[in-house]
Amino acid sequence: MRFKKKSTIILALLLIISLLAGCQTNAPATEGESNSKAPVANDDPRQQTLFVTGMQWNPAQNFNWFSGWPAWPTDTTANPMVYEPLFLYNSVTDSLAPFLGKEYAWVEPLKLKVTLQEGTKFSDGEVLDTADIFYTIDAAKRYWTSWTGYTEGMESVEVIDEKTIQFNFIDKDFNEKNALEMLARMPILPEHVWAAKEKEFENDATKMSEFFNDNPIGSGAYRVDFHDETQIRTKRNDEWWGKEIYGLPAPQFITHLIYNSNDASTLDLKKGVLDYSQNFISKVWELKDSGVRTYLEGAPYYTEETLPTFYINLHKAGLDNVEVRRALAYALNYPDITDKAMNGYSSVIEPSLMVFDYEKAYLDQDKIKALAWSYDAEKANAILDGIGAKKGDDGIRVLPDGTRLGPWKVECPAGWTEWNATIEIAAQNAKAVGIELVPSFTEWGVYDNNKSQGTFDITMDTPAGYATPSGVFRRAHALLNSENVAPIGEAAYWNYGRYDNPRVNQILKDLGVATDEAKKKELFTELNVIFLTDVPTIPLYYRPSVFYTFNETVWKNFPTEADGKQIPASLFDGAGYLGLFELTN
Amino acid sequence: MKGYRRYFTKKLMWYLLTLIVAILFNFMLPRMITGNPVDQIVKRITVGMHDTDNIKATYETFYKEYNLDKPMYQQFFIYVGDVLQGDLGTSFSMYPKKVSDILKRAIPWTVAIQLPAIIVGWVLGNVLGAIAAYKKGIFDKVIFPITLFISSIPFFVLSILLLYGFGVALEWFPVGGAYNRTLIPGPYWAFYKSVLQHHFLPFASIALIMLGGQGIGMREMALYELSADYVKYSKMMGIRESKIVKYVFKNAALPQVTGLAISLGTMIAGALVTEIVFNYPGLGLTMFKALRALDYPMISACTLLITITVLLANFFVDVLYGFLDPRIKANQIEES
Amino acid sequence: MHILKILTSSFKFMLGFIILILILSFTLLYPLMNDADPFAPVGAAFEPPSAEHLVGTDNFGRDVLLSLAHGTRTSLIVGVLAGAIATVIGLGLGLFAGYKGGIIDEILMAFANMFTVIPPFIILILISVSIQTRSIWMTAAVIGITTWPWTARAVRAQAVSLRERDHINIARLSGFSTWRIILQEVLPYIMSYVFMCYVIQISTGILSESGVSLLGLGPLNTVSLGILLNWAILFEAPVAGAWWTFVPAAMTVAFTTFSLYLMQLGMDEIFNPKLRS
Repeated sequence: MRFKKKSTIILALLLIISLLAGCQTNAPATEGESNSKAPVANDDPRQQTLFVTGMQWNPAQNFNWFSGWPAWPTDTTANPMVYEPLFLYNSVTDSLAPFLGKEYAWVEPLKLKVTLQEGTKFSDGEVLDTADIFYTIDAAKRYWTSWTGYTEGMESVEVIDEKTIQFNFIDKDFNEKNALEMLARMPILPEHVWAAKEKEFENDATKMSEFFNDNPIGSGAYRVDFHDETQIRTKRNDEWWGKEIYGLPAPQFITHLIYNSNDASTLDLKKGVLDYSQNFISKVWELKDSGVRTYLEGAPYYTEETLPTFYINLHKAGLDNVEVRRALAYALNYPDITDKAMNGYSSVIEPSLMVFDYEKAYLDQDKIKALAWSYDAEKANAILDGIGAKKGDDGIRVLPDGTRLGPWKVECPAGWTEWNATIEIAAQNAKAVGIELVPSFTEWGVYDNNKSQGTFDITMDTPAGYATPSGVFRRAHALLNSENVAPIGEAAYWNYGRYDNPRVNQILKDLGVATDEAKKKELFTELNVIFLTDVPTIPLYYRPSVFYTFNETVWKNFPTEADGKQIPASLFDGAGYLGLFELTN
Repeated sequence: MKGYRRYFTKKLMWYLLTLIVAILFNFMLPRMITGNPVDQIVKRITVGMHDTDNIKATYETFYKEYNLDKPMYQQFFIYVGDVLQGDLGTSFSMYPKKVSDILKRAIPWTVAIQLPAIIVGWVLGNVLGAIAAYKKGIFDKVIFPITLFISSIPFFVLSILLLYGFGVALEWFPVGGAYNRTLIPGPYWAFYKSVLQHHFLPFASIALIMLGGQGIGMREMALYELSADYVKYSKMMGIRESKIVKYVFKNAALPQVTGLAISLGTMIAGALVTEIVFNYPGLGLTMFKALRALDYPMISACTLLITITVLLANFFVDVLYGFLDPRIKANQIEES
Repeated sequence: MHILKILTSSFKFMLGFIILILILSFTLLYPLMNDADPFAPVGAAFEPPSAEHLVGTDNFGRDVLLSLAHGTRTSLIVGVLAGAIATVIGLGLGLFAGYKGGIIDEILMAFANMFTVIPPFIILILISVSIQTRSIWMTAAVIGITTWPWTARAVRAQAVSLRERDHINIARLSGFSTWRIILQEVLPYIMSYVFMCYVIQISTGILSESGVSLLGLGPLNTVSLGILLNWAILFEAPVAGAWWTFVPAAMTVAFTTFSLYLMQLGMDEIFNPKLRS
């Protein structure tokens, strides 16, 4: 029977193929066993490669700072792998560590002098000198980049000699911390490469932004080696200029694996396929037996560095009433949010503008204590009763003037897990006291648009979500500064709820130039008192700027809080980079 | 051949018309979205820009580049011209990568799972259906309800069940991707093995559904043919069983070819969902990501490509059917 | 009632019908027992099935059993609505084309074929991604206007074979208008067949809805079976091992469509006039 024979053969073939493919399974590595099962990239010994993830979600789109959105390892201005900033900011010690720059000093109130290290050069052998720094700033004036903002406060840049450069700032609205932030968040570009590119593209901004810039030439210790849909691999430059001073970072290769979402990467971290992940990991303590560790040995496992917040549209009827906002602040179940949405990865929030301990030290607690709210549904109800907001038949309160407390949409991008969960919980909490909040998870573009235009009711965002010397100032500025903020309907880049308080604007200006510690304490306290009185935004929980989790099966000696080295919890940002030099196998 | 030529030309005209309609759809629908489609790119480039003049200038540059300043019909002709030259535009979400570059890397993976799956599914399905019809008995009683069930469930249901069952629970196969992401693609055995391992489950889910559908159809046709007069007559004449069966199956297979044509559209489109479940980096996953990012040039290109593929496949099957079925030629000759 | 008797004697039809009834009862009865909001988080994320939550919780800590009940209801509603729209359109066009024949028939069928060869799923995606509001009605309407060709073709075939029957000829000779003939003479003959088409269209509607929701283009702010699967994929539930978040939903889709398919098979054996004679 010909058909029968044919079918039997085909079936048999299929079976054999599937068996071949199916055997040699990827069984997870058992506890403690070294990664003999973890697949090895061809010709790279597993021991020489650090596998990381969390900074890139798509195949590399470009390595060009003029595009507005370059890929890892050129993803943030403080990632020194390829392009290096002058100094590395350390958020643990709140200081700037020397890197390309040897030292900096304010020679006069508005003049900042910086001296370069000896022997700085780019990966193609060309010397890195002050002409490159000058070029980096100059180009930012001609084409928009992430650091163009710093150039706006500068009057001039003086090249004193090949190793010394001086930045002269404008007096108006001068902010010392901002200037220092520039030292930590401006990557130095090679003039010889980019001036030529400018000429080639005839100074056309669009062409400059579309250039891929593969194999980018920078002064960093790593070069982009290979990239495709699943990974971006970098290789260490063993001729790095900093070899004499700092030594070399331990991994010969650093490969960033690209995942579509969190859970697959968590699985790989558990198996030891990944060494380091900056993704949110659920119940990280359950992975301890697989060698997975965090910056903090025990709860809350991650450091507290940023402040996810509800921005409230202060021009919306009902939300413009400060008592309504205060009641909402009391109604939110912060312990629940921290526990369920954040998996307990932060301590419960103490409402204020300060996050780090050295920031909180600036507060006069006596003045703050009475104003700071916490989860208290009874008090929330009392406040609302006090202003005459009566509950309707549907359980939602209505103000005496007829304004119903809702439905108010609370927006954030769909898929941002802990944010989505936070908003769901908040909606339930608000309902319990008679305020109707409606979770609204949209595409990122829609959320971003509404946020900047002010066409939202309540939206969620993190003010100043990165490590910077000007921490509190940045945060307060992002939340409260009303100068240069466009009205509702036009694009604003901070203070989305359009809070307007001239006194606050003045305090921020004063803080920019204040040097006396006592004066700073006075100003910060006053700022926080205003904040707690007006309740323009509601901080929800603390969050690290990045989630720092690692598996020490292959690489050991990751920086942790306990080791006393005071290296921040982020291998690819500022002073955290120095952690790469500490790793061993 | 005259009758056949008429059939052929008529089909060709119709397909061309359909192609034009498809292109129109692909062009018009994303453009009906309110709001500025170029917003995303410009937003990203101008984030942090405070100089409103500068921002405006950037908007205008991109407006011009995407031809949004021209009237709709002009945009359409530019679009068609570009498409014919192979320029499908620049992606929004992976700016400045070109859409055609992204697709070029994705298509081979889709073809790799769909082509073998459709062929294997079709062949095996027909074989199984025929055997079931011929043998009857237990074989039929068991196979038939199973294939009935499989053929009625949607692709993603089977995919997700296979993924969980064989990938996560039994851990016989990896749970996603085209190959182990720590590997650098190259001509060496470990890479090939990884590719095969990752290929099997998505391939199997498509093949199984195809198999189910074909099995049912074939069994019905075979049963119908087996009860026909010529079979009884041939048996009475003592013709060898194998020869009878050959003729029966030949007759039964013919409508199966039409069946293939009809189901190709659903197959190809539905199989793309399989890629999403398995995170397999083919056309389907690319389209999924483009949908989530509202990357309109990407979405348009994907849907256009899928439509054209289905059109081509149908056309091919129609032509093939024309050659295979002598009745068509006869019909055409009759009508003319 | 003669029809009912025939139907109940068909094994395939009854099996499918019973499965459908079981699913329907679950969908309607469970929310009566548990009137909580399916969107309310009630536990930790991805909790396995327990006494408290019979099918565990999803990535947001919501009760899956409740989401399943509400989701099935939404999917069924969309399926019924979309099926109705598709059947009406298909019926109208199919009858007209089949009865009239000639060039009208060819044009209409060419048009219908276009909607088959251009994958309806793709058109569905294109439309869904373009519209601003995505409600249950909108989704059902879009599915309805892209899946009618099947019914149109089937009905047309019936109409063609009825065209030359005696009573039709008599009606034509008596000078009745086309539509009167179609509605009074042709339609009643094929009503049961039309019903069978409707069952298939419901099935297609449910499948299309779950497909398009799986891609994230389904109705907003509701839960449906497709949306449940979409969440499972987005939050990588399979990899997390949380089978309870998608296996029940997937099986519900499978069994619903399977039951409808069985019912249709049973009815086909009875009602298809071609097979009948």
